[in-house]
Amino acid sequence: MTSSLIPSRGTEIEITEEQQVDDVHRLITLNMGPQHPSTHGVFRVVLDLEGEVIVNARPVMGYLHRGVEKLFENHRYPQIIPWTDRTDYAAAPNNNLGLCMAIEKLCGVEVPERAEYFRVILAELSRISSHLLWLGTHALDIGALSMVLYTFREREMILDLFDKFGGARLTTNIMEIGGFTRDIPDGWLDELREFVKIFPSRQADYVDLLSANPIWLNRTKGIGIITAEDAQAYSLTGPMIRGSGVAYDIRKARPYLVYDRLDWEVPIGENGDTYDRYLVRMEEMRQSLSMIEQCLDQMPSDGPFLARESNYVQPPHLASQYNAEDMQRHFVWTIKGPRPPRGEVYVATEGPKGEIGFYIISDGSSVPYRIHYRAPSFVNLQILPKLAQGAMLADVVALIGTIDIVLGDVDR
Amino acid sequence: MLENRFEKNILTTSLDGLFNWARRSSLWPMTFGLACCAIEMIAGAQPRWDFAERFGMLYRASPRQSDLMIVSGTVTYKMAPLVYQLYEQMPDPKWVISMGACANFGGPFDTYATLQGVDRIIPVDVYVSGCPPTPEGLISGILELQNRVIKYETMAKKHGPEVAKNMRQKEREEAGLKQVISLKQAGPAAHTMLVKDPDGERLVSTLRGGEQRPRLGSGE
Amino acid sequence: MQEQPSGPARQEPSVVVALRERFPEAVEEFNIYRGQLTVRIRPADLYAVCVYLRDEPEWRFTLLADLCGVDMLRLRDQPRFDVVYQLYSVEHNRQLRLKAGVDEWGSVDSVTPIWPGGDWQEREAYDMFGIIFDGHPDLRRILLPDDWHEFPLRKDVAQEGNRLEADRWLSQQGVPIRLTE
Repeated sequence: MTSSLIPSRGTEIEITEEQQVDDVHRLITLNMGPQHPSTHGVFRVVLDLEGEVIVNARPVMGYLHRGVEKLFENHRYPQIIPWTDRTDYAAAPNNNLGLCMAIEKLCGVEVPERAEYFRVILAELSRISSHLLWLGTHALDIGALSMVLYTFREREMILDLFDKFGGARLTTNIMEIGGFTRDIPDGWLDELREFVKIFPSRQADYVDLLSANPIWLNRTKGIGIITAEDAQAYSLTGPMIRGSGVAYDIRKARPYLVYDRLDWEVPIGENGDTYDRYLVRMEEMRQSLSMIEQCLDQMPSDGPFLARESNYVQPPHLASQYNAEDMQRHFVWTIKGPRPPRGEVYVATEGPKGEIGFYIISDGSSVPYRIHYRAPSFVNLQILPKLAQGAMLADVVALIGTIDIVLGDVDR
Repeated sequence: MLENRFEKNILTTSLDGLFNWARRSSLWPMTFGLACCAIEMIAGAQPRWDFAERFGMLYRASPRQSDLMIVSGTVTYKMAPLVYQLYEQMPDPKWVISMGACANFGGPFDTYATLQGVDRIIPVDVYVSGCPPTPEGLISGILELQNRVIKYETMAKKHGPEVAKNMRQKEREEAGLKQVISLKQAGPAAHTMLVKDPDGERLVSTLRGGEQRPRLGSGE
Repeated sequence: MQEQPSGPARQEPSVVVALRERFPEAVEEFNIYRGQLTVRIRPADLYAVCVYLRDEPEWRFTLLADLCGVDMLRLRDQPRFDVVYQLYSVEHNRQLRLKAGVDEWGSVDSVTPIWPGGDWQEREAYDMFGIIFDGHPDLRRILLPDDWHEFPLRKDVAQEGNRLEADRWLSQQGVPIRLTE
């Protein structure tokens, strides 16, 4: 006989008879979440414990399932971009980039070089900001409480840059199909240079705070070991697979934008434990910063910022006010929306958490037939039950932290 | 009338006024983040804005220790029963800030899975607009709430002692009913428990396992 | 929905040639759009094909990058759904997209035994479309509540879904919500 001890709140959790009856080796069922500060949102995991050792972990999610894929297929292509902000809201520009690149691939739009450089800058800034959020909250969960105060200080600098360029801190809606319609504001690049100058010393502070911290070391070293085979079998991507020693980074494997013109390396871990993934992400921040620096040097100071002569791209605002043809194009673009050809593409980009994939099927109309968003957090989280098995209860927060989930991304 | 009757540094006020002043000056919100807005709420609690310390707010992880619920993000249908449960677990008096477009009215998510506004299930005191609101927006919402808290009136003061007494009686009955139902919901584990009926005098019955689970509010 | 005509005149990609050799009946059609290869596999052969593609040293598609369902209601008559697999080979840095058709309430072999990473992604496809995966260890709804009343990403479901039914579900959970008729 099976029965449910936890009252139905959407998802039933079965408690077996064995768990109820056997008093000697009794399994304790512990519910964690969805309202729990360390699950990074509304994630719930039901743990079966024998003493303090986890026998089984059963994740329950969907508490933030908002149905973005349904919204995607009911709106025109340019309208979809704002929703991608709200999936992985810790790194919105990366998601914007993923969708824009998928639409551009579908339509065959060539983006001007200057816009490509600027996209790399925004994507890497957003990667740093996402990693800073991860580092602060991960350390907070584990017990290094002061870390979050420092990481948010630098994160604010990045968000201010987004704010100055796009007008929003978090849900930036910063990329557009074909490039950018607004130009870089005056003084923006100088502020970015300032950030690039300051950040290395600030990152050295983080290392100082953590590398000699015995709590941090004890709670991350040897915890949550993933082998390279497992990492591939469980479809892990991003820092999760690189922490296990597999040098799979989409920016290197299938270079997009201008990543092949930059000089950078893919950091990989050795042991595949939580500490290695911490090292990988820290090194990624350094690499991102060096990429931004190189982009600042290489980026043409002048030139087109938006793909022209294409029906898929929004005509620039200013031109549409003076030029009859552009005004007409603008009108058609706004009212009817671009109509990509029939076909299907899957475009993957490297987000801060892993592979951000957009699979678009177009039936030739201005509304996509289907867009599937491959969420890195969702796929990476699958390994949690395997990692938690045999671990201690207190390690669960370390494991959830190391996977680096954002619940908007898990549940969409 | 009482002015200047006592020594210096003594203020006179009503007990309600004192309590409301204390409540306003130390609202304890629940650590409860739902979506994107939660990130801005966390950012607001960090040193740059530091609204938690500035307004005497202390984040508590348990609803039983908090008197302010900041609904920071989208409330989906799957989450709604839990939001309601958390609200119910907070002791009175309690306040709710609905932060961001999603919690206000569903926001950009007009879909099958999203509840169109948290005020459909719990009463909301202050709505903060934005998607997500900036920390400044949330701060203005908190200041607005403080203005409301200082004007908080007890039931007796507002409607007279008789109404308050009836209200208390009604609440007690409802609480008793809920106790029965929550025990029934526990299923077979509650086999041997004896349940008191609402007025707490006699034992009603022992519950058997496998009974149809009664649902509050169904069929209405 | 294919643009290019598939015919003998076109060069067959090496993976299609290899699959045709090994499983003569498996490849139903293939097409290339914007340089991306899609191979439609007969559902009966899907499991064997996937095992072959994962284990054969020439391919080594060890990473199931993505799995999703598509409701083809407005594009063709039968079968109703497509299941789309995006495979990636870390060793050879190669991508491949497989497709298999599924009828409404029909089923397709689960690839979770081959790639454990397919587990939740198949559950999601079940949750959103009602596609059933044979041999999946734990096929339950994942994002929506267990007793939800619809498969929301089907094309015959509106964007708002059935709000009345959803409110009724909420009221059954003990939330006092006013039901609007």
